Amino acid sequence: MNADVPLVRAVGLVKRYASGRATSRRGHEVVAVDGVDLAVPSGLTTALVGESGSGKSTLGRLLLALEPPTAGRVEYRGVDLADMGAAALRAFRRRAQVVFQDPFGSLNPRMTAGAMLREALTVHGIAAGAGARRRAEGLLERVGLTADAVDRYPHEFSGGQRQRVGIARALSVEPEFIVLDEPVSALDVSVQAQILNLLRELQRESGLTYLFVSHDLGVVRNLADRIVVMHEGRIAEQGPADRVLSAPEADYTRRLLAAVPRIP
Amino acid sequence: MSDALLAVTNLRTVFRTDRGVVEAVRGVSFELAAGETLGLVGESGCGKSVTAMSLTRLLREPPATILPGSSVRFRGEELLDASPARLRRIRGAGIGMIFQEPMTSLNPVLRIGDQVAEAIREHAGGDRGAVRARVIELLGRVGLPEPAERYSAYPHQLSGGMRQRVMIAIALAGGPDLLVADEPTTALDVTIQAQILDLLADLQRELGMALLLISHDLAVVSQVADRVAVMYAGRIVEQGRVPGLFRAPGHPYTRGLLRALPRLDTPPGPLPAIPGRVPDPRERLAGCPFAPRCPEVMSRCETDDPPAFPTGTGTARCWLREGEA
Amino acid sequence: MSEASPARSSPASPWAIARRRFLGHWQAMLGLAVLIVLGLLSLLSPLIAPLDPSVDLANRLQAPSAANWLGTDDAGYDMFRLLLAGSRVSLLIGFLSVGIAITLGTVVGAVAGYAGGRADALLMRIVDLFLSVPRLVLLITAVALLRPSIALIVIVLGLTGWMGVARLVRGQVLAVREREHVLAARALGYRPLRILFRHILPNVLTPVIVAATLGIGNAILAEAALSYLGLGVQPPDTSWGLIIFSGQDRMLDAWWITAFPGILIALTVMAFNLVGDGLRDALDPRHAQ
Repeated sequence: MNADVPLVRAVGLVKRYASGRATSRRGHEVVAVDGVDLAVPSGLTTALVGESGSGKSTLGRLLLALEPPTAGRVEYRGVDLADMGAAALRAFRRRAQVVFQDPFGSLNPRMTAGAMLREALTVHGIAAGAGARRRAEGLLERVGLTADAVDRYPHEFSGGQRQRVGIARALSVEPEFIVLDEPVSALDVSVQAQILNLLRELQRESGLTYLFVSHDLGVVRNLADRIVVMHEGRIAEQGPADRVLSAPEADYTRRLLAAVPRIP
Repeated sequence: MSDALLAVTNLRTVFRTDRGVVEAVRGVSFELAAGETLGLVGESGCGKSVTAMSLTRLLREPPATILPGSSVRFRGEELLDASPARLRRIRGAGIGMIFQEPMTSLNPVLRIGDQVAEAIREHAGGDRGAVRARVIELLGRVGLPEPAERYSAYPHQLSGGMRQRVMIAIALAGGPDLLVADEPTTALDVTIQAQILDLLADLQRELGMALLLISHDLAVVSQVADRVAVMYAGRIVEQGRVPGLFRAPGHPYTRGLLRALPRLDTPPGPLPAIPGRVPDPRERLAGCPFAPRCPEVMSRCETDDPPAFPTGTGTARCWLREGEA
Repeated sequence: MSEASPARSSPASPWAIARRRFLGHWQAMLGLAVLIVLGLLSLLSPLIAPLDPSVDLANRLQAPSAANWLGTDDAGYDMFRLLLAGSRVSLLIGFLSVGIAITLGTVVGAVAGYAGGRADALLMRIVDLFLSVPRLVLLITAVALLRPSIALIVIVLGLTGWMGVARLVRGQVLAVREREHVLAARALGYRPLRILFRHILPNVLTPVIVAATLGIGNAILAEAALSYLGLGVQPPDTSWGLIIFSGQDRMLDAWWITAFPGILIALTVMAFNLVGDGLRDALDPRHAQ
């Protein structure tokens, strides 16, 4: 695993929104991401940590080309996303996937789990018909559900199970990079542990690269190889997880760590 | 211990839904002394919020029903027998409540100062000048900067942390002896959370108020509470003092939760997760509710529901604790 | 270790759940029963109770009796058969015009909501333009300029009824567009048309369905008003409104000519409203698990 070559790179990334969003500080505009340089190494878990308004979720979307940057660029394997034509972008979409925070919005309430997976498989030409159905069942089993989950609608699943379906959807196109946006924040402690273990296992099996966005330092500690701390749209500090947590350099990181309640 | 501020005995609350009867709270008993903080923890569906709402009958009845045999005694008075008028007086003046989402708990079309004033007028009265002065005093007490200016602000003009402070001010307006806080910091950033928890601790000391803190977050509760009650499937499975309960938990569920929690001070790596899932609230349970998932289950656990046995720091409803000193 | 999916005791698709709730709503079932009876009678009327077009002046203006359950009008036509014939026209106009309005409104609203930006602004200004024209005035003008016919009424009613739907759909699309499952679909590289049809519209349709049922009632009333003014359906076609028109000079002595169609219109509109209410309660996402 060559950890020196970044899989994804952000250079001078800026994202501004016109007024209308939450709390606007500068009159008419909100600057969600304010000049970010970031490298995501292949095969590892990079955690994006911050509180609300830090810009971490926005940064995740920018890295997936789900929103265009106001300034700066995002490179995937050295290619600027803005330079990609429709075909290259579609190929990128297979390689780079996303898992959201449940509970209610991340799955289409009108589609069964199987239908969701089969759609992804057929649109990308990975499988069709009976083959697609078999693959869908296999994917659901891989994330810890039983094959009969293919016929279930989202409202029939628990929060943790819905999250597993979301992970299966991301895996269906065989990506190498997954952005996980607060994937366990809405889950109970016992389920959270199960999902974290699943994510770790999947990464080990397939060599996936994770960008793990979270506000929960305990969760981040469990999974991350590298930590990037964000504060008000900028990177306060980044480095190997152990170092950032035990010997933080930035003031904000220190404040964040001090505020985390610890169990005696 | 009949001099406890709050004594809940065998509280049972059920809901009638079109898919059957849901037993949300199945016989919860605990006590709270004046000035003490009790943390009520559990995962979603364990019944902790329903318990809190049942104390002052805030649930809609129907579809909720508090079953006979339940008892909630506050300052010696049985609340479940109280008239609606008496309950209204107790809510706010005796028992205050704050909730998780300050944006929906505050009226978005009224100024915050007016909302606090309304609570003061309801429970303490006074002329306009006195009430306004008290509002500003309270807002200052809860740590709102520039309280006199903030009087005329609307909720959407404040941050989440500030709104939660306003909620606390409203809850304190009646001078309650007990504050019930249902997930008060769950929607807040961790740095703001720390501030609000410190505020609650300060107010408690200053006012001699008791605090019932409900949360799914074990760490938050461990910072603030004197004692903790762990809920599972509508029952309290373990109660005990902090930090003892966390260092030597008496119930396998508590142990499982603590082991499954990813923490800053544990090294990265796979977490020992509790297998299975929380039981569906509609299920009728025989024996110990945790038995299907318990790593130390015995055959007795599947048929007999254990009573509370004493542990080093409190009690635990587990057959493993039977016979221990 | 695998997690078992929950056991299924009843149909689980959101549509099936809504259908079950709808069938349990007694007011909606009442309305539905009325509509089914009316619909069947109307559909089968040429077979079971056809209207004899020949005028029967000997029998004119008879009060309701055993021979003519609802009386006869001033041309001697049996009221019962006349009303049935009229129902075919009234219901046809109701359904067709609403069909046009819903289709047009959904397309405009969906495009405006999904595309956003200038397309949205342009389309919404067109909606505003149409909304500023009073419906009845437009209808009367159109009928005055062109030859009145069923087709004209259907078209004009359709073209003046789509704006509310467009606004409704646009608002819904704007909300659903921001949901994470739509974002996930974009991340999977799905094309906008697929996203719109598979992931957005199915989650948007429920208020549209409700609006449609209520709209049919409105369309029937609009047609009745038109025909009553003499500007709607023309003989030899007949409609409930036209029947009322024909009996207006005799409201006191031959009251049955105006009363019965009036009652029928009220009953039908009420039935559609009850069904609409039932649908709204059944489809309301707040009832979702």
